[in-house]
Amino acid sequence: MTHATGCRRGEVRIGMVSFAHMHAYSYARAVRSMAGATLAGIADDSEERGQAASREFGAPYYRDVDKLFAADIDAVIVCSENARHREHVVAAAQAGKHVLCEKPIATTREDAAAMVKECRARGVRLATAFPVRHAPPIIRAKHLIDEGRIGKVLAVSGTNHGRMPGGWFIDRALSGGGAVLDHTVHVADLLRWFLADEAERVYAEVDTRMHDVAIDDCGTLCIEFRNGAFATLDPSWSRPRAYPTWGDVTMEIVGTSGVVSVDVFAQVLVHASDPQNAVLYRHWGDDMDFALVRDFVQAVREGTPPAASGVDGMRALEIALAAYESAREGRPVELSWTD
Amino acid sequence: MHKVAIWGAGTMGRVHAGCYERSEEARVAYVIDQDLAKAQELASTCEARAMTDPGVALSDPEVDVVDVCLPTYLHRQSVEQAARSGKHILCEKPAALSAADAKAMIDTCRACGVKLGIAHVLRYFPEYEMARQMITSGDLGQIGTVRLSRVGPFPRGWRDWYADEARSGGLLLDLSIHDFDFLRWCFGPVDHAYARKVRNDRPLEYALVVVRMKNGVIAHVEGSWAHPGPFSYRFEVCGSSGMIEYDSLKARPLSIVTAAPTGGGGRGNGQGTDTGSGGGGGGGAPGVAVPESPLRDREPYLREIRDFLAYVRGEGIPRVLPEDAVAALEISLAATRSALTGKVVSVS
Repeated sequence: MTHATGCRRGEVRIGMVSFAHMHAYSYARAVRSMAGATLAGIADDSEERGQAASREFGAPYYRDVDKLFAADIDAVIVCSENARHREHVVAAAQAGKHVLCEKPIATTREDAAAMVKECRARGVRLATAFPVRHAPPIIRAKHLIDEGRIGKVLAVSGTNHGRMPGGWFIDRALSGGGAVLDHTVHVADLLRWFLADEAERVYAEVDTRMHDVAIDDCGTLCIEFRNGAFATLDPSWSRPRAYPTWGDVTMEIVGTSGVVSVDVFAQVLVHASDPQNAVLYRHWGDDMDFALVRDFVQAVREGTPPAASGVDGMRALEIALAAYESAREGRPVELSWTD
Repeated sequence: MHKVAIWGAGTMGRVHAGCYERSEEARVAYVIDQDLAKAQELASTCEARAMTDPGVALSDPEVDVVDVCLPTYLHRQSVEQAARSGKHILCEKPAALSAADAKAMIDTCRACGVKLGIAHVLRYFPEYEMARQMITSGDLGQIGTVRLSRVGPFPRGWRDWYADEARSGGLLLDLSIHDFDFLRWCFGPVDHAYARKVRNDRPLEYALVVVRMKNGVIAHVEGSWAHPGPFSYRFEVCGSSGMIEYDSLKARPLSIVTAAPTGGGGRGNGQGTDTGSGGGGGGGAPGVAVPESPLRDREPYLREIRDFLAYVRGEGIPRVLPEDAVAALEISLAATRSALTGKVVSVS
């Protein structure tokens, strides 16, 4: 398998596929502000949303995604609803475009495997949008672990709390799952990266208890790795609207000779606002979405692997899907690999 | 005025002795410890008699309360001995190493006509009391998830008894039992638990437990004897109409930093206990801030002792019944079993 570098001008031309996921706006801003990258086109089923994005970001709008694929672009960022990732990623690959796909990579193992397979067959890069890998506190934690500063990692207690997002996120046909799918994959990916290991067993409690929705809004997972390390993860949509920020990513990493505690979004000002009648955390740390897109652009330009591949996205998805299975069956579930 | 014998002059014995003295309802008459020097050291602070054998204290008809602060594996035999001597007993948590032992203690005390209290002091910590009040009043709506955490360094006890699971029951029995008891206090019975635990030669113990309450609440309990540095505890309770979070490391109204070593004191002289994280244990190195969270009227150990003394006088029912201590123990034992077997364990 060879990857086309696909960049003739030293400038990477990027198309956006759908603004259904709100991260699309942040990624589009990143492309716009990045040297060596151009936002070259926008496709969206929703003409209203697509036209608005086209005006906001100054890139041509295509009602038909195939027209975007036929345009002069090198790569696409796919931010459609989770259940539509497969159709968009496969079509992009068939058009010879490199792909950065929003997480979760898909809603089923079969879809994820088909996406990975198609991108391999077409020689295009498939990257999964795991921006937290690019957050400096996380990179620093990875270095500390790799330097052996806390000895061998034994266990991790993690959280990825958030607000209940509403919209298509709570429509199972489009999202594939609720809080557990939405918020398991980030930390699952970080755990695999930190431990350089694969999960082999998942136990989870999953329920709907805090919001009037027909999809899971809370849970807790226990993920066990082949080398014996274990981790728990709380992916709940448990942050009230009144909370000063949207949520968190935290990891308490316990090693044989020390502990690393990470609170990824702790670099904030506390803002008490009378007009908004609210206290808000204003994050001033590095913009991890920008770093994610920069990494992808570099991967496309130079033919190097992106930080998180399609396979990484699939592995994280498998952990989330195992959590649902465990909760249904009331027992730990062994992971079986799809490749 | 109650006359008290403290049995066990370790950390908790010291904390309890200080509370009896301050309660103005009791005085410590005896301090019993295998280590006479330790007994004497504590006895000298409260004008008590120090001894290695409990016989004299247990046969003193004026002693009405025996406070058992011995390592866990000695609880049953000492509580039963005190009960047979007709003394009311406050026993440090956990009640015992097994539910059978704890139930036998209860039966013996009942048969001897004496009252038994198990010192689950967490229920007297104002931050936990307030959290429970907010949970039970409905302020947070329907509760979805609860996270409880209690972390610190490996405890150094008499002859390293904490390191011997056969004597301490290990981390889940000795430390996380506080949080298991809190879960029961707030949400009622536990349905099942899934736990993973690691032990290491450092020494070190660390456990993560997923607990499902019968009422559906999903709880997560972190227990650590793997964190170098100060003891700390945290919680987070999330419901349909709000959430609360607390971190003992952030609730620090006072700290002292000195140019040269000084003594440090925490809440209720609780340094070295698994609930009182104050103090730094004898004042750390110069330049190291030693935080405190001082309380007076709401000091948990003192209120616990006063509650128990009132119970002894027949003036009230204590916040923690011995049956509650057994139930908390059963959760700890279920989690321990899950950690060993890798299976989900139901809690009866």
